[in-house]
Amino acid sequence: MLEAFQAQMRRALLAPVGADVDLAAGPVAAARLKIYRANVQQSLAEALAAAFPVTLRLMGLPAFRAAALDFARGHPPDRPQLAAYGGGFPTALLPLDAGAADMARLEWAVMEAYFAADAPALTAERLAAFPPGDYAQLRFTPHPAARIVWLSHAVLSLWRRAQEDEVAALSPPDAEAEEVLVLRPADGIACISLPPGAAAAIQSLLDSEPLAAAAAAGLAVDPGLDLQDMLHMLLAQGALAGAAL
Amino acid sequence: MDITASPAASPAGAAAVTLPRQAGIGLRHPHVPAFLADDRPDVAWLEVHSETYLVDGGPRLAALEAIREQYPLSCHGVGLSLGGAGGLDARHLANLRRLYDRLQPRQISDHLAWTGTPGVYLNDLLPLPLTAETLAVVTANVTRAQEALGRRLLVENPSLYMPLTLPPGVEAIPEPRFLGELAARTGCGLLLDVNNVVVCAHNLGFDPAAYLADFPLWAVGEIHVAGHRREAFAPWVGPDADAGGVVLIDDHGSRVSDGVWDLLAGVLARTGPLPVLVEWDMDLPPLEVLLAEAARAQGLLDRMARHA
Repeated sequence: MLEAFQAQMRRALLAPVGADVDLAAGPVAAARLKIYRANVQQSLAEALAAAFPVTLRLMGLPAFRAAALDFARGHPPDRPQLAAYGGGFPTALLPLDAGAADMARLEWAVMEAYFAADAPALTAERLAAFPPGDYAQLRFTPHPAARIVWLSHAVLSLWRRAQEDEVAALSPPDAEAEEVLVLRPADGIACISLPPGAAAAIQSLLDSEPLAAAAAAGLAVDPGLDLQDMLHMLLAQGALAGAAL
Repeated sequence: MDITASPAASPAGAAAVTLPRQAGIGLRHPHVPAFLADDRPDVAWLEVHSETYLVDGGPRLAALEAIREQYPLSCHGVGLSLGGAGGLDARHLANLRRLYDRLQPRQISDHLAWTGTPGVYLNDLLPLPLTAETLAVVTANVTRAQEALGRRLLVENPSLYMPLTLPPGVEAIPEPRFLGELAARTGCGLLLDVNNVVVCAHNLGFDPAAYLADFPLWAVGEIHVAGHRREAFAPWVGPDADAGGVVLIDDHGSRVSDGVWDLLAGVLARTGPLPVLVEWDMDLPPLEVLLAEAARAQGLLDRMARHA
């Protein structure tokens, strides 16, 4: 009886409108079932609102709420860990609002970076211990928080404005490619807009390709890419956790 | 098996109380900086929601690791789904074990509830039909959880909004007896949430004092108090319109009600001092307000100690 009841009530709680539950018979139980349905769906939508606050502002509350409730009903969390809930939400937004979907992708990368494992950053001193002649063959261990987001809308400046001003109106982002490195130096989050070629080179490094291959990947996109400047930035921002030959 | 005819098993001894027998508060994110400051608040112990800290790393977990060096910590879970017919989630148990090994809480707890089905988490504490079948399920789940987590659990009485109707021939086990049997069979302790008793008594129509008179206090290792709100919910026409129209919602969003304070005093008069937690989750007030509520609970505990 218990298993059947729980399967039936789970379906009722995720339904858009009421559904019957055998053990919730009569008008009192039927009305009270709505409290649970509202709790479940609203709390999951609120979890998404907490994970994607700038996306919410960009879309406006009514559109976001409708999308969040729809997502919650169709894709409830698979585990009791709300910090890990919402990874599929940006894709769900894509057919509704491609600009908002890109903002959601950036926010999700920020969430992942915020909760990623801790690791000491690779320092310039440790890097200097390798013979300069071997640099081309160095492979790096990325910091667990470091990730690149490839976006088709320029959302980073909007995201920054939203952090600085909690009420500023946000206009729809321009449809132009943007590549952002998300990091967690010290206690905060850093989002860095990358120059042409840098995303390809850094992604290659994050994938533990040797420095020579990463350089080639970046220079293939933009022969003017300043590799030394890029490497300094990665070290300064704590994007790398280790290096090995 | 006839549960209802046998008295709840009597205690082999008083339940081990592992938290200070003083007032604590729930630690919520906006108050974290105050607990990291040099002039940190004076409160006997803190409780957090375990699942909030199930992350790989980062500032949230680091802050709690620093705070737990200064305060006894209780980790209160909302996701074990101890009433889940499909059993417990092995991955979740392993994640919790890692977290508890890292934080070394003085006490861990979860609820007499289910929160979903295998692979689906509904983010709410859902009601269980209290039957012999359910008792067997919860007993097995609590036993497995205590083994997997390597620690003794406290199981909390839930807040309920909806009466469940059992099929003909299936007998309901009263909740105090159910919890007493569970504690006797598994060796778990109980977390008595006095606010939940008040909320359920109103919503399901029973006498909270009678419930508490039957409650297996010998197993209680911690008490919760919190605020609730009254809500006119989905009114409908019918003979039960009054009883059903106003529902008490256990939202932990206000001061503890006078009725809850009175019942708490009655419980402590029977048990002597126990760890008492003031929970506040929604509409979080300034820390001073929460600390004042804890001071009120501490005042009750101090009077108990003087009269003992």
